[in-house]
Amino acid sequence: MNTIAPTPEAMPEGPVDCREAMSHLYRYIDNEMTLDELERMRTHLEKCSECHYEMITAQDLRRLLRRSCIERAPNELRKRVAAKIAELREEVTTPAS
Amino acid sequence: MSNLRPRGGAGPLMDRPGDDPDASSHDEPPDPRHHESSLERAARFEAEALRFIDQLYSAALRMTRNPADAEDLVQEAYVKAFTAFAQYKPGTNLKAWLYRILTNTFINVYRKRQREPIQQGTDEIEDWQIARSAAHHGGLKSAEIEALEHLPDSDVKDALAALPEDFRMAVFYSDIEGFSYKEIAEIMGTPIGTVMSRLHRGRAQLRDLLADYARSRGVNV
Repeated sequence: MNTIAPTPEAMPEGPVDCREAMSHLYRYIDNEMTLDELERMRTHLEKCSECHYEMITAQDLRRLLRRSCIERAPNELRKRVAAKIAELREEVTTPAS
Repeated sequence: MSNLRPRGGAGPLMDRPGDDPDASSHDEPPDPRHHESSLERAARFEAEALRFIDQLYSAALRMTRNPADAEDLVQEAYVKAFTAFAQYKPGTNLKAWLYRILTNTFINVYRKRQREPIQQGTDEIEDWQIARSAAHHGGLKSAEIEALEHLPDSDVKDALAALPEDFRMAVFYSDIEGFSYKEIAEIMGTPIGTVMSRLHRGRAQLRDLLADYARSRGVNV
């Protein structure tokens, strides 16, 4: 099923066009680019308002997800897990008679 | 601990050398596992691992999509992690290690018994880069996402829950937990290219779904 190369492909050398910028947009917002790629990507984003807008959109989506999908474990669960681990600790530290 | 092995056969997250090429040099701090007692190890687990419970619960909720199963899954993953803690190499990424155990526990125990059919995204490549290119300047725009900020959190969670599992978890690990592609690849037991493909597809589907939710609530997108 996995026919893709195991490492992300670098952007081709030289100035970045819109097609390349969109292909590598997520590597840009996900902090996965080399410094050289970052510089070339930034140069393109400064010149191309449409690609820049796509980049902002992708970042907005992430912000929305973070706003909505970060949870706090219920206190009951905290207690349950702590109790379970304490129980297991007793088992490993009490030599079997 | 065969049930903790990665399903894709990728390199084990446990006990792997750190990213630092000099990690094995003599400058390395001594590995506490070499001299600690099982009591000390248990104390170290309690001090270091339990504080990730909120993150593990968030991930478990995204996996199981219901709070009762999520709680059981977190507890079970902590039990497995406690048992396997001697295999965790101090100084490496504990959070990723715990997530890996959570993922494998989910796959081995919970996914089997979930009643809904498993929705798996296809990992076939299908030129996602080109597809993404073609979508340039299409889809949901930033101004529209701003409009989505008025959507209740429950809509955003539902949209994420509606994604195929592999896409959903890749998006969760990247966008919500901030893991690198390499870390996600280790957690999910897949090559980095697969992670990238899942992220692209997951995010694209999420944008479409969120636009649907917004329209159904009368938000103009």
